[in-house]
Amino acid sequence: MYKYVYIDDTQDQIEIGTINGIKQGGKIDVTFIKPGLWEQKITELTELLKTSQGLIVDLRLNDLPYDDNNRAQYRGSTIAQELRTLVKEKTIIDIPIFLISADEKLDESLDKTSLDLFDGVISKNTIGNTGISFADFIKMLCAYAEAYLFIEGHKDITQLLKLDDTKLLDTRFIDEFQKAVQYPNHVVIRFIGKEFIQKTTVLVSEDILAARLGIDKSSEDWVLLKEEFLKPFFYTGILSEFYERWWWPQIEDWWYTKISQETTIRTLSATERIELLKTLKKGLRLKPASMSEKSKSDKFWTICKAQKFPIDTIDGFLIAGQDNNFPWQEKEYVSNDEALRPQDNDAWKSVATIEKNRLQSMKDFYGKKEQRVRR
Amino acid sequence: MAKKNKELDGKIIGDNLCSLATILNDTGLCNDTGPLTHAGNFCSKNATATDYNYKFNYLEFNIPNQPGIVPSVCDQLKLRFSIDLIGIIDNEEDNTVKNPLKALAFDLELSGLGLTDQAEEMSLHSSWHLDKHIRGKKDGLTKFSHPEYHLAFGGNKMEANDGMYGGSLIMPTPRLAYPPMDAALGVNFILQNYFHKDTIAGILSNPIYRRIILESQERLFLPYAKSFYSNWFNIGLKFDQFFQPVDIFPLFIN
Repeated sequence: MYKYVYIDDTQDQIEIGTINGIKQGGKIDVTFIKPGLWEQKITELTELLKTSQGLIVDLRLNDLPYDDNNRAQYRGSTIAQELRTLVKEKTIIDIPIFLISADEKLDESLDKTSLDLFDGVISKNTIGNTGISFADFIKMLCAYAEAYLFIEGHKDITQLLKLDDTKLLDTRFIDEFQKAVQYPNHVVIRFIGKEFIQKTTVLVSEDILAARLGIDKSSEDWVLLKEEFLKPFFYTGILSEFYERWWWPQIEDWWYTKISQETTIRTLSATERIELLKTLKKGLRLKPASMSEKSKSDKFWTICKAQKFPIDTIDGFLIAGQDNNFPWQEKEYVSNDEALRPQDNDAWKSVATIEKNRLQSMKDFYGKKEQRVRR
Repeated sequence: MAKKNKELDGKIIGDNLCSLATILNDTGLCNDTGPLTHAGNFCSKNATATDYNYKFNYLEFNIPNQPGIVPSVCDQLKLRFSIDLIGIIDNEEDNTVKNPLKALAFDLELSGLGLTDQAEEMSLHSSWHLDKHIRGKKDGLTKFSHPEYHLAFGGNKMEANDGMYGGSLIMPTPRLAYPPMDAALGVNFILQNYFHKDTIAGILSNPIYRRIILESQERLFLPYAKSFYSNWFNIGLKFDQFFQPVDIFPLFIN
């Protein structure tokens, strides 16, 4: 069991619900404390963190007074900053810190540097319902606590990612990792989490994996395929308890040695991929994924970031803000359908600058089509 | 010591692909250079003292629309480049001019979106391929001219869209560098490309035909070859205006 300290100025139904939710299943224990006089709280936290593996902190700590007249003059991010400094000074060991907040507009109240202090940001209002489930939040808390403990004696990239060698890794990723590893553990874990695992790299998520295999995830034997055939390629390094990922280059090798030496998976249609996958085992019940309305190719390779269905990159638009991606990170797309009629603008803001004219041209094209139909 | 350097050669080829990906990415000419980066990494890590290899599928470029495209209502023009290559690292320091590749499959696939007369969307396709000729026992049966390296329109990538010829995308074709031809060479080109080998076997073995063609080739192909060659080896040649290497092959970069 991992112990987390939770700091909040309020302890109403929503906070009690959150604590109970986290404690479900007995994997996480929570010590709840309220804010107080700064010096006292830092001393108290330093003591508590000797026997705890992480911290959850609310951003606003001054809604309610902590005694008769006094309200905290600091925020959750101020505490996080102080703790990260104490880590650097080697007063305490590094721990995962999660920000939990009812504030919907975190981008406005926190700058990027402050956000970088946290391992994750969770919405207090949506946890357990429309946001992250408690089961996933528990997995996240456990995975990060475990990663921080593991990294103490394992600073090698092959140890952290559970690899035999670095053959699968981009040399520039290894270089950046070597730079990050000079810093405290939270910088290293953040780098691996944010820049490697959470992005599509040589590691791919389940949605992308299904897309590349051409499989409709509702297929009866999708789970069987993963368990029986794809398990050796499952990522088992740090944070793998929370982020389910597969090593894609190893799956390509497997395709070549076990399925087909004549074909490259990338150039096959979903139906062709499924037909070949079915040769693995008699009676394998797999359905090919289907194309979205405005797609033209079912040689699926990625997913629409907003609507999550599989697309071939030819049927998508690059999302803005990816010009400075690291070279080992793959680009994210929205489908033609989403770009023409956005359904989920939280997932993306606009298409990349170099794609704007093409999107306009596509809108004009479909406009022309409408005109001809009307005539 | 020499062996180690040769191993480095293949690794540098891979590194160059990664650098090229970065440049393409920076210039915005290619939306997603991931395939090139992965191929470069693979090449760098797997190159040996004797050979190197890499492949990628669908490095994608958006093509600007241009006059002369058939059909005229055509949108979302894209070109996807795929390659599968095995190259040799030349270890022998002798005078043999070696074939630099063991295998090559090089495909350019074009696609676009058109409208039928009934205003229905129509996928448009066309493709080019540059392949290294695969030699085998059945070579004698090859029906048409197959140069060692051949650039051709169509091929397997278009056959996969069989039944879609009504939706072919026809663009102004690239201007392929090719040696000059006179009337005799023109006839030879037509015979060898558009007639069955059996049909032309007789004329091709005719001594007079052969002499005429050989003389024409020496007159027209040899200077072309010398100019091409001198791009790397300045052997004291002078050139007529517009017959410099860069004139006959403008893709040369000096």
